[in-house]
Amino acid sequence: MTEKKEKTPLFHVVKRSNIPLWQSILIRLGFVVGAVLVGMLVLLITRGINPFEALYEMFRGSFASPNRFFNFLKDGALLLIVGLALVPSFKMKFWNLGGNGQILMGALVTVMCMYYLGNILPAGYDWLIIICMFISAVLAGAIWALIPALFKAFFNTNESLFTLMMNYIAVGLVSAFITVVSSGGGSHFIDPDMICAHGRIPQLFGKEATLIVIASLIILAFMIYYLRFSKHGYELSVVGESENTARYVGINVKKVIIRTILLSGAICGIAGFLISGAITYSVTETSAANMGFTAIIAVWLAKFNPFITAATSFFVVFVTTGMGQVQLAFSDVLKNNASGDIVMGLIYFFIIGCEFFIEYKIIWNKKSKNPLENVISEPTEAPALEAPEPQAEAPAKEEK
Amino acid sequence: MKKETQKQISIRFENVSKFFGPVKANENISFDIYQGEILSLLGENGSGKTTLMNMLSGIYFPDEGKIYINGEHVTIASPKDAFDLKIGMVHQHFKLIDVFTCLENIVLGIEDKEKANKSKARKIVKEICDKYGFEINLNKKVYDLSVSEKQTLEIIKVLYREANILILDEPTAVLTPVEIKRLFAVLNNMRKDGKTIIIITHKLNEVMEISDRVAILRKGQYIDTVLTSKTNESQLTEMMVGKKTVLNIDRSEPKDVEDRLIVNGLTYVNGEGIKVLDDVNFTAKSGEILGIAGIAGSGQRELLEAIAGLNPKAKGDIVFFRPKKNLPVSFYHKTYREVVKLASEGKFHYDNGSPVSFEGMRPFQIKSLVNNGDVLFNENEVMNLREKSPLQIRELGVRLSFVPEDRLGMGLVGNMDLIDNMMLRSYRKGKGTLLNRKNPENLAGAIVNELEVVTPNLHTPVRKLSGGNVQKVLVGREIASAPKVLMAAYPVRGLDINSSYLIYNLLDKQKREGTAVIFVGEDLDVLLALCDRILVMCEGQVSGIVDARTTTKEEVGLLMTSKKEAEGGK
Repeated sequence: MTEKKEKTPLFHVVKRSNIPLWQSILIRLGFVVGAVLVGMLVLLITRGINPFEALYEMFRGSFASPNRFFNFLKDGALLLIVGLALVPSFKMKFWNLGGNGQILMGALVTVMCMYYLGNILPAGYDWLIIICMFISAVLAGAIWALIPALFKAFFNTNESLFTLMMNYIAVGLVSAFITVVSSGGGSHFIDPDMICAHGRIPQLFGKEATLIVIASLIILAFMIYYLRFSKHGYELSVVGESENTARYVGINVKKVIIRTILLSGAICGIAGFLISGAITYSVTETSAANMGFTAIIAVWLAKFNPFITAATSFFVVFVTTGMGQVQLAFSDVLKNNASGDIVMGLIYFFIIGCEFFIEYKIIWNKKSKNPLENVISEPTEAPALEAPEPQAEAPAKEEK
Repeated sequence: MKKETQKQISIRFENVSKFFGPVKANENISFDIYQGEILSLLGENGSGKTTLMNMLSGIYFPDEGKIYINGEHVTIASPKDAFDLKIGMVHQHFKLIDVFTCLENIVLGIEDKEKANKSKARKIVKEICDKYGFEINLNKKVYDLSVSEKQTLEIIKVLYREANILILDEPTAVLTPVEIKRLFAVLNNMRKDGKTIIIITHKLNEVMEISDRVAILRKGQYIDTVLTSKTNESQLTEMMVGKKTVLNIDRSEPKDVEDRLIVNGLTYVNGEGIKVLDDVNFTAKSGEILGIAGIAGSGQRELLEAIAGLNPKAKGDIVFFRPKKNLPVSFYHKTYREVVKLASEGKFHYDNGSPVSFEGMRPFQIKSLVNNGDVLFNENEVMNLREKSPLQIRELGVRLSFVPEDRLGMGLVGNMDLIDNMMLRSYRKGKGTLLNRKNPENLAGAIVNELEVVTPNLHTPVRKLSGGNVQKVLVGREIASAPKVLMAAYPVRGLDINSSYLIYNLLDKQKREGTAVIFVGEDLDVLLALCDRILVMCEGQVSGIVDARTTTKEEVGLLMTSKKEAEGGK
């Protein structure tokens, strides 16, 4: 029955109340650095790669030459645009996993404009083609997002599955287009690698990156305004936080869902327009380069804050290209890019895990020490506000 | 009492502490609980009663201190440990499985094969019921049970596990007066049987009625334990609140009583096909507080939501009278001819109240008088609010405020700060797409000052505020628009005594300013003391409307459980 032996759990977990901003940033930075170091350690142990050389190569991935740097800017800015497209829908707790499909539809109609209008219109009308490309890409992305949004608003279907499925339809449409065009003997699509000559978006200052970076900054500014200062942005956060509250104050929930998702899809469409119109001048099933999913990670890390999304997008691109470079530099021992994925995985794991340490802290039960010292070390003494939540505490398992 | 000294100590707390970040939920709590007594654990919300009991039942683990059961130092790291020590807790929110029968819920989770056998269990449960006086049908599914039956089932469940120490968290909060009496009879039987019973509560009259001793907690600190027979309610209040407080509700006499809201034949069938409102009729009057009493879930919430436009499928009429006094006449609304005709009927008056007569005036003189705004009229606008959305109701200019039951799930947005929460009602104001945060900020500041909201600053998310402060923010916002009708559902639930009385007096102030106040409450004493009339609901029907000044608690309690006055002649 009652045990004589005194057993105390080794540690227990306590919810933090108010953590100062600098401390939470420090924890996050510490975990990112820790993740990279652990990743390097994995490479050292499994493949005998010198961690310092690997780190050096990682930086070279994005900064070795001006060209690489501009590529880094271009990829980061594109990911940022997709991320910004997802932010409003995620803030509304509408899990839009269909970014890929929406980008792809934007890219598809862009190339269709370039291909068909380019054949009809005489030279010198590129500006007209570009306008058509833009409008149709925005519409295509918006419509691709609208379909699941309508179902969500009127029939309360699960938006994650629906948007996910729409991705595959978009891929199917793109392959259908490629098949039709190339089998029809069109001059441009005999080989999918062939690219359109008309309706190309001109490069600014001789670089692809400039235009895309500018576009991303414009969208970033718009999104900050939209979410923070506009009535629409306010409505969508209320809907995201609590549909009941939204109903209570008379917000038309259906309208807000549809409006927000239209915006989300339209910006994805713009990303597709930029990819096909300014970079590749063609479309393939992989034109979206999985950015619809990668952006989710960036947005999640940024906690749906558009400003921080800018930082996380570039960080994700930095790590991805960096690990690509590491694999290239040590191709004698790294036969494929699995090692890169491992390190990426570690970093995500660490970053998500560190949220736990921002929310909670661990108190070790030491017999000799007065536990009070551990507990009341919190410098931020807010006036007793917070009613303790029951979930705040989970007695930790005793270690055997 | 001499017996006390001979009694065996069942539970001993020794310097038990529990912290949530900087919040000291329990600090150095030491006291004893004797075997075979009913101990009331008294304290305001947030004083740490439930936290302390959760440590006893294995949900929390103490940060420091020791717990002794029957003289042995024990470590209770999980609910299972507590169960092994024969400690059972009946939580405020029942933990039952709806689709299982009572018997299945009782044996659920028992590892001992012998005890988990249903036919054997039935026999043992029967014995328990006979011994203590429970009444329960073991074959009923839990979803068919009333709240009080569910509670009975929870207690039997604990007893079946042979618990010697029973902890009941706010057991009377959901019960009617009759059911409370029955519960107390059962608890007395268990005490006679030598069980140790701890009741967490903040209701003083029940403390006085049932318990042997009272342990008082205040802000996480242990204050004292007193013998119930040697104390009184005012002494307990003083220990609980920490200072002498005179708490009373100043009920003002209704003034300028006019019909403001007439609800006629309101019927609502919810999504599951249950008639939650059945032909509800009543009138809410200006300058009066109409109380709504009833067992939880008798349709109170749906009624208020229907009036607020949140249940568009409700049938019936909700007629709102908007008084307009001393409005200037304008030719925009009425033609010259109509104005002259109405004036001859004596419908218009001057600022000083004397009637307007246009006799002997030239048309241009009349026109200039009207255009100067000197000619005034009174009119009662009548509108049917049914089938109107909350937004349409607002756009019509009906000033109807609603303090819903679910503060953070409906009335406020927990993750937003005070300013953004103020904006919920007003963000549409102003042209353009930009939000105006200036006025909401001023409003938030004013509410924080006037209602003494404790908050670090206006940019704190409201979910970080304590329950009382959250409610002050919500009520403050709702009365800020000077409503004609103010509806409040359980506005003091979870609030400490001082905040509760602050809210009561705010409601009374609104009434004095001519608002029609509708107040849904659960504490009958408060309803009798605060309201002018009390509407009693039972299973979606109005079972009676009584004068709060002359009625008794028993009368209201009876109405709460009798579906129709006609039935059974009750």
